[in-house]
Amino acid sequence: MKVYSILILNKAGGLIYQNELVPGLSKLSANDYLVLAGTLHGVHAIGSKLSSTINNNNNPNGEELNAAHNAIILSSGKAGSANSNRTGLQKIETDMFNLYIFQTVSGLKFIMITAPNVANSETVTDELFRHLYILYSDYVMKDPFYSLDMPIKSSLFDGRVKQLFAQS
Amino acid sequence: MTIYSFFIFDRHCNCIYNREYTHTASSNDTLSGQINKSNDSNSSKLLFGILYSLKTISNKLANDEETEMNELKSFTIGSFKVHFWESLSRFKFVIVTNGEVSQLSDVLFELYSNYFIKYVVKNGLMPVEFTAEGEYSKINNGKFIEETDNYLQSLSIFRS
Repeated sequence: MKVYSILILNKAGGLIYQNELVPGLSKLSANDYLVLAGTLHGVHAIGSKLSSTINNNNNPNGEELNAAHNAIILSSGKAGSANSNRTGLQKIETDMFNLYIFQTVSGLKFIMITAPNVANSETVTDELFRHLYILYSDYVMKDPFYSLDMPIKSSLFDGRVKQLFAQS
Repeated sequence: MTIYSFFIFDRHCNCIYNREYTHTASSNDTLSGQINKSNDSNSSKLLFGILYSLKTISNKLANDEETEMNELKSFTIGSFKVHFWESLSRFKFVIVTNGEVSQLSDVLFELYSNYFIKYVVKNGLMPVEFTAEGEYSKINNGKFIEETDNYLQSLSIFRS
């Protein structure tokens, strides 16, 4: 799967990391990426509100989804998907790209912009997001000079991210 | 696979048609749901806001070298999938389904070309521009409602 770009948003919607891996999208300035991040954060929140209004008897709401997810973990003893984005905006499909949003329990959002019309895209993106989350935990969270919710400027993280997406 | 609702927005950011389908175990033959009840409610306005924002994102991220516009096709919110199609006259057609339904561009185009144009655009009693309030702010054409309901019901993804 060709991944054009990845973004990482903190829990307040601020852009803390942006990496254009492969050219193929429009050239955006740093300020444009900040606006894009804020827009996606807002749309994600509006999506959560909207999905609860569409909700009827057959569809569980966010709390029930979380309770079911926790029950599965307790009964099986195995960790499920790390993606806690269950009610908000998850995926955008357009003619030229697809955009996927992964949200952690702590509210961190990973965004991936890929080529469109890819088969089995959900499983591939879930795996890529999981590896990206592991890299974030290893090279950003364990960096003593990193302040939480500030932009990521780790060259180790940059290198490993490029390496991860070069082989995918 | 289920179809939950069907929206039409005009270029003035108003919801001119809203059809919600209620799927219960008892009503297998009769069609239940609401017509034009949620045009002014929060769900329609929230949906339009999301569509507007995502269309902006789609066009901004599209490659500058391409001459054609980058069209938003669908997006997934929670367990729902929203399918989107827009005419050049900027009427927005939206169908909300569950997450397993694939592309519905053909269905949305069919709704526009064979039902909306036939029963709304070519209807001399309909206004050219929908008003924000009053009698002409919504599609109340019984034939359009009946025909679109029959068409959507005939799809295999309507309820299964």
